[in-house]
Amino acid sequence: MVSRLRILVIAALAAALAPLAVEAHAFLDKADPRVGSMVARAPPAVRLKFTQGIVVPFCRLTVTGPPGFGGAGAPHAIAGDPLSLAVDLKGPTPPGTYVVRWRALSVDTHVTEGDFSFQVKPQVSQ
Amino acid sequence: MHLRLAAPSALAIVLPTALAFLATAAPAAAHGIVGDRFFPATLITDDPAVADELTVPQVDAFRTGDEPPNTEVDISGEWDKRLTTNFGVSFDGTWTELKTPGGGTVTGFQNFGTTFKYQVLTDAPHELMIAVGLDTEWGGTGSAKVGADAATTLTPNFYFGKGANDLPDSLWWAKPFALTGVIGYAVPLAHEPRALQSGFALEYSFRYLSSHVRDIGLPTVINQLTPLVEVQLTTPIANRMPSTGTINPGIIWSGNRVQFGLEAMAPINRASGHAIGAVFQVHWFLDDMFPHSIGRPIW
Repeated sequence: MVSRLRILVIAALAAALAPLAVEAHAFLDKADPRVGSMVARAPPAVRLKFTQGIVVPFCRLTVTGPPGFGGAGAPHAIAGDPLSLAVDLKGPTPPGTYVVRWRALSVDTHVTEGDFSFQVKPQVSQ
Repeated sequence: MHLRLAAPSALAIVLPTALAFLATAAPAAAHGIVGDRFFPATLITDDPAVADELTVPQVDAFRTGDEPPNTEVDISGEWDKRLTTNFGVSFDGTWTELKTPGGGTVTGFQNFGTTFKYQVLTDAPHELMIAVGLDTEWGGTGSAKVGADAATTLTPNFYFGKGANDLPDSLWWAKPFALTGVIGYAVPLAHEPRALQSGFALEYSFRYLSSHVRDIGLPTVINQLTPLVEVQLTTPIANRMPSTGTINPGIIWSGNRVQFGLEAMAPINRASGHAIGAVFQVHWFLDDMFPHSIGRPIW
């Protein structure tokens, strides 16, 4: 009985870790700026990295910011990185809270979506 | 004069169709995704999602509430299949080995089960999922030696899942919490006591923390963990028998196509068991493994 159980568990683990050629839901893995972070100044672009390959033309990525924010461009791919999506921020990028909303289509047509925010610190005059 | 009409190329037909499909694809609802929230498949209580999934194997080991107690090992499996996007059916079976204090061992199958489930509500802004279902344990399909009942039991179920995203931002650290549960009323088709069956899972999603609330710099493998506590109770109706059940603290790791779960099983009283047991589960996301074939809804 115990050996049969061991075989079952080992077989399941081996199958799970095998490099199957399949894709899955694209969840947000990392973001730059980091999710929920406070940065000294706004970056030139917001970059998202997903857990799976995405179909960039069918992904959405928008950034809204505080009054005076110059807006964001169209989402675009990052050369050589099929997992990532970016959007360039147009100036000005004043201090305040920025909200990033995304919708990702993975290469196997699963759609996921989410949002997060980051903050740009007020400039301290010296 | 002969007019020749150019036949559209296969690409000209396929490409617009594919683009239209991709552009209108709805956010995924399989294995419990609602907005940013991912409800993993819990081990002992059914989650509120209708999905294409396979649980195999699940292994439970514990000492029963009998006097004197038996040592029981269950190896079970379940296949969940979406018939439509919101309506699915599942089939489950369990093989049991019972070791008695006298040294004897009996083995056999428990009754086989079928569950139909309909996902009534998927509310992304409030991270809320509600489903209803009917579970049928088919009496007489298992072995009486391991306790399988001769009577068929019907259990209408109410399922729910709710994320804590509505909490104020000052409680950001608590937003990854979620509660899922199922409440059912078991009705044997024989003169046997009815019972209220309930199960709840309190979960904390590191994936939700890192991708929606605050990325505190944990590695990806940690962000795929969901610590949880499950509680399962069976309360007999119309007799004075005590409730039985277990409290199961544990952890789930969710990958792209499979998840692993491990929990301890602490009996709530002597009638529920005599020692802390354990349950281990491997759960496969068929919709991610085979998105264009058996992982899709039939209709």
